[in-house]
Amino acid sequence: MSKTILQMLSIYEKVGIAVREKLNDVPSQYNPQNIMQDYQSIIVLARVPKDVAKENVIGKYHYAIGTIAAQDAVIKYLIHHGYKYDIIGSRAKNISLPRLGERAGVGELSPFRTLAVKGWGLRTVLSAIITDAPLIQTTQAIGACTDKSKCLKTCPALGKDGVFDRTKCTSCGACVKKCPN
Amino acid sequence: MVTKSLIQVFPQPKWINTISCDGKPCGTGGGCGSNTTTDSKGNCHSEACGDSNSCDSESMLKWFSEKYKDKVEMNIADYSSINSIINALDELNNILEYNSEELRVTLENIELVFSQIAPFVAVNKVLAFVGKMPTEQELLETLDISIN
Repeated sequence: MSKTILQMLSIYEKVGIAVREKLNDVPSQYNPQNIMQDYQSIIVLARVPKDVAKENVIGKYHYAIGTIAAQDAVIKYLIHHGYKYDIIGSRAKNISLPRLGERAGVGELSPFRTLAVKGWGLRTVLSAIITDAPLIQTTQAIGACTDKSKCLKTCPALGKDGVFDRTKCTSCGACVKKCPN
Repeated sequence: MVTKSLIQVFPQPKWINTISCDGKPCGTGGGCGSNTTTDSKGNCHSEACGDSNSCDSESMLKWFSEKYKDKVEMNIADYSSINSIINALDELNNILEYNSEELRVTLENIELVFSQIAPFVAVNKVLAFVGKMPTEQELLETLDISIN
């Protein structure tokens, strides 16, 4: 079942699965139980926003529509097998998608607590599907966040201790541009 | 005889999420926020509003179709009844098929689709804008291409 789901979602740059046992230590305010009490697994999806051609050409929105079609296929598959689901959008506030992505093996947490995905750096947009289906945990990502000095050097939101201070983040995007991964 | 371009618009149904820029005075919120300016008539002029006399994006499209009525025919999806929703989804699915997309929108997945990607705007059945309401300028550029 897990393999089939991962194949269905192959349009995404990176997909991983985190099982409930791997998320027991998540703080209560961000715990996936807030969304589905009896969840068993979370499928984390990473996509890279694509620039679309300006020309009026059939297919220029294929990637954006394809990601929704892939989610739709997985949802139908889960329902067909008697499982529940819920979609966690990229702007969800009661859950930490980067943390889920890290646990699902999609990437590693960056110094900015965002998710670094191997080959895509900090450029991915995350979303997730939470379900009571018992899926198989994917392996942890390694080597997704390597040379942290490059991004940290450019960040205007570093505290005196050299640690990222979220309250000072201006969303300038310097970290995304400088990420060497 | 000039052939009109057909613009088909499938906005996000209002029960899924409230549409921003809904007739509020310019610059006070939603889509009428940070990137807006006020035009000579005092109307909101933003990405979503064009030069219309309303901040509502659907109103902008209606105004646009009136302004260019010799060139365009505008169909905005009607979600006011279950039958009209089904008809709108049939039309949208025809467009998706024409554009070689696998996705089909049904009553079962309408929330999944429109909560993540809206609107769908097709010009002569080609998906011209997805996930972003076009500006007047963008619409004109697209129409020029499709008319020529």
